[in-house]
Amino acid sequence: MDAPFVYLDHAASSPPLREVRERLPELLAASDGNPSSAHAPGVRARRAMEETRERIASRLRLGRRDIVFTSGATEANNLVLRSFEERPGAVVVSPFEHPSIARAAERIPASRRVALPMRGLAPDLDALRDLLRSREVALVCLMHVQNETGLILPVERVGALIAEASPRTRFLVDAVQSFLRDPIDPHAARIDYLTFSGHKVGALKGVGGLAIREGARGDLAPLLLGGGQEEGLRAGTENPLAIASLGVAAAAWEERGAAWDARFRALSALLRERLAGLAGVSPLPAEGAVPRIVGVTLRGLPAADPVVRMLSDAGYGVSSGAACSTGRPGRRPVPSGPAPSGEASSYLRVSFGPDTEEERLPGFVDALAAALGRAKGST
Amino acid sequence: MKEIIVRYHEIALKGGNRAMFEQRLAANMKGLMWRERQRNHTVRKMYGRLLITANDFDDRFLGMLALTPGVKSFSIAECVKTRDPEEIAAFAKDYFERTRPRDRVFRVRIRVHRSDKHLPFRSGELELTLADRLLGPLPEDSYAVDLDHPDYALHVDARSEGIYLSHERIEGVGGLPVGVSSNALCLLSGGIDSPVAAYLMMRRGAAVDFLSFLSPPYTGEESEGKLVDLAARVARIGGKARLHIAPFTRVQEAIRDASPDRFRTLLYRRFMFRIGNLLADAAGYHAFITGESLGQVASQTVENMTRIGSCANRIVLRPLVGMDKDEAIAWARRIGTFDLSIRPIPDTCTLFAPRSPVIKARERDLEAIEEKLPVERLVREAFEGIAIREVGE
Repeated sequence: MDAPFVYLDHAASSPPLREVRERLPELLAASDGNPSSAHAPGVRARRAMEETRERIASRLRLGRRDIVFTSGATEANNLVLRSFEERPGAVVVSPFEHPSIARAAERIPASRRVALPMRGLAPDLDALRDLLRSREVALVCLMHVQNETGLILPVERVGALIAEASPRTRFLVDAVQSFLRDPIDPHAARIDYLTFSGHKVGALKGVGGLAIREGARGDLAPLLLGGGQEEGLRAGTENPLAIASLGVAAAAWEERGAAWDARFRALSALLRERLAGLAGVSPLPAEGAVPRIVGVTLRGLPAADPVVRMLSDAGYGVSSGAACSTGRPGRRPVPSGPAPSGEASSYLRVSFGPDTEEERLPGFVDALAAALGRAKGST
Repeated sequence: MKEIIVRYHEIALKGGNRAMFEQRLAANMKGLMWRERQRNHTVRKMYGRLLITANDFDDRFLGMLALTPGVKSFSIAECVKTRDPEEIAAFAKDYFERTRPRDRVFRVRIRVHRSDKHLPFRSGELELTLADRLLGPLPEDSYAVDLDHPDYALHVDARSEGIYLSHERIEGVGGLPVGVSSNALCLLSGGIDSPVAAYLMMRRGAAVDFLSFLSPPYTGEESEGKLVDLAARVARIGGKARLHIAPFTRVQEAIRDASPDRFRTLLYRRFMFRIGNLLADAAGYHAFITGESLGQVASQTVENMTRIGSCANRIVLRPLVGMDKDEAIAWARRIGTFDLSIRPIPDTCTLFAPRSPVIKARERDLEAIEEKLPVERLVREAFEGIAIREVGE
């Protein structure tokens, strides 16, 4: 009965990749010194960090100086939002955003805070064009892949629209759920600030950052003052160990990302096929979403947390909505299943990682069926 | 050194109980000082008063003292050990100059209370001396003597132990010291009312422990944390307590599967009392306490409270029964449980909660459902699964 725990919550945090675990002693040894020091251990720490910076910069076709490391994506998102707090011009925020953007945006005076126009579940590009032409907009925020639903949002089209209608407007894309995994070109999509996180791609926790397009750096002001690290944008001794682990993870995704993606598609298809046999369970449509994240609507169940705990007891880790907003009622747009309106429903998120095994999914679906049966009392 | 003179409810004292009352209050205050890390304080009995001595007192400790059951009021005092009226006057002058209002015309009263009748002066004489020494040098338009509504009332308590000067009286919560009445078991939910109910019965002298119910996996770990925090907050005022946590999942699932949803809440509560009966028998509690308030929710109609209460084998004390929600909230804020109670964490009582609960349940309807359930086994299993947490230390 000592089956290993089956972790299906990679969108919340993806455990360090095998490649990262294997190289940890070496990375730890290289991070002894302070990256700002001139002696050999300092130089080693700096080199470990700079390798990651170069790898990420070249992947995004940016310069080394354009990559700023922070403690994580929350800090990177805050760094951008807080820089626009007192700047003239409106800040447009989509309803899809993570709390690290949504909450930071609440500090902007209401007169300058504008919700991204929506048509149904998608951004209304015509209305956005009108908005960009009719008033001064300083910043637009749109997530690349939505963390709760896996929905892919049209950042390229929004970027093109900004370039056409309001070239001075800055564009922030929270790419936490797509970074290293889905193609994104900050130049083509005209993204000024792209934020990312290490522990969602199998690096250690405690590192994230932002990529800055040329010319957009001047609009940023640091959150912390101190030793002037990261070109003055992020004071404080860097975290060479976590940053180096991100470099290793990035290399692994470059090498094996295509194969993993094919796995995710197979996993998604298999899971959807199996879920189709369960009453009251509707996966969100596969079209328009990344295959790594399968959102599931549970009809007739007012809260998914008990099911999450039952699944955990049975050896399966998933989450209800986004782990970052557990306990708070989500107000973000989720495509609803065929549930009749008014019926209680809740939401479960299954997300895959490189180590997810196909053989585990049937067991997961059985455990889900048992949990739903127990939670609904249909036994 | 600073001292706190603590007054208690003398009207509540009855002859032979007085010594026990005083001892209990003194012991409770020692416990409070220990919990509040005021380790250098001492507490002594004086005639009709308790006296706490320390280098200084922090506001948090004073706040807790004001909530301590049995404390009617208290004053921070300074003491001079002399019997000589001249020395008393000099000390009082210094005290007055340090503490009197300087930013306004103030209404002043000076009163001497001589509880040691062997002291070589009369109260009235000393009052006149002090008025002369303290007020005489002040410009006449800077103060007004006001015996009825002073905003600066200098109180001189002349005792055999010393002369105590104070000018502020802080009202306490009154009532009886915890422990002079029987011990009781409070059914604690995560809501606003039950912690208040526990406190109000502590204020009538009951020593209170707690019984709560959790239904994992329907409730998460944070639900237990909330119960522990609430019980610990109340116990911080009244002294160490036990929080019993009974596993309730099987009971709730059995009720859910056997009962139309409108009866579920009532049935849960009947089972809670049945489990409580076993605990009260085993651990020796003499009463139950609940936070029920008449008519507040569907389960708290007279009829439904009767159906629930009939399952308890001891008296059920319901101190909130005649209170408005606003009053309960005011108490919860005062004792510091409100912010803990409103944390949005799922609570066992609302699990599988009915959309439209029955308002006036009939005993036979409830019994008909319970006949289908293995009541005794469910109750015994829950009782045997009780986990105990010590809180408030």
